[in-house]
Amino acid sequence: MATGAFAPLPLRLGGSPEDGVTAAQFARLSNDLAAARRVAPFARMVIDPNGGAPLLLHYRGQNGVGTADRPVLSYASNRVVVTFATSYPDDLGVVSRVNIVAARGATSSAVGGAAGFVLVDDITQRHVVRAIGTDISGAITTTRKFSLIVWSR
Amino acid sequence: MTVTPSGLPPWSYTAAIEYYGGHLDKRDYMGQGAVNARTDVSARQIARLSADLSAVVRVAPLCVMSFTCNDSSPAAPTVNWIRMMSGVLLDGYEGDAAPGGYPSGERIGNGSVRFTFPTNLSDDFGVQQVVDIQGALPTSQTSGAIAVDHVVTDPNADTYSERIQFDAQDSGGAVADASVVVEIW
Repeated sequence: MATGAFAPLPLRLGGSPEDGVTAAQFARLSNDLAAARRVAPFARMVIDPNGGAPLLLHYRGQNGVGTADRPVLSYASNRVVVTFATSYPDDLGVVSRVNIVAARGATSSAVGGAAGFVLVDDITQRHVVRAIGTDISGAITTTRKFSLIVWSR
Repeated sequence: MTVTPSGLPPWSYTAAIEYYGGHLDKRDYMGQGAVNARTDVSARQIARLSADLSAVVRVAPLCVMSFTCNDSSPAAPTVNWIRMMSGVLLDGYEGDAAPGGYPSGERIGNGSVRFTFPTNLSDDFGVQQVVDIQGALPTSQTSGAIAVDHVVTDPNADTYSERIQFDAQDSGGAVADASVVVEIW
């Protein structure tokens, strides 16, 4: 039985390279997708501390890229506080809790500017990350933008 | 009978659309396109899926891990958590007691550790692929202006690099008991 218009899913595996998907190919696809998902971060973002009134310049997460998917930013104790919701639904509505385990960042200077560091505090709350940029000497600065990557269990 | 996946495991970084059913001339059987979007997977969709997946696999890291150097009481580093393309551990382990398929860790000195990966790793279907580390992006999790250097080596001279060393330093020298997060590819 043909696939596509003549037969609905489940997709029947087999056929030629031009008009089919073989079992071996689907096996590779499923394996590699699982592998890529294992090491994929939960979210990537760009933050501007903006002198203590932080701005989320860019956000792209597994939970989505829309306004409602973004964490809330605040500033306290010389750190930008990134607060996610405690859980998010996927595109099919299945809800999963956020359990941040690690985060890392890199400063984002202007072209030709000096590099610095990004401090990330120990993550004790599963949906909150605290980070800030510094200069090369380690002095905290609220004017240095930084990129941040976050992983969730 | 267990199917053998096409192509090589993703850490070969040779992913191509053909691995996943893609083809430059992909077409729907007998030229009939998808009739019902809720039940039909079309040739164009498979082509997109295969292209995007191969792109993702190309930029995916082999491993993401967090480790802590044990220098106050000298011992092998502690792997706090680790995700690899070949598997995930929910709990950490001591570097000198690495589970099968995960890198072992050794203490070299204060703030200095090295991890040796298995020569080969197996994917979920048992297909093996050599480990050949090219680079890493470590970041210190310890407060202070700490830079983490890394060096990739081939300890068994098989032309594939399975070992990587990290050295955490600040302006004053080695940083004892440093914690590091690193992406390795």
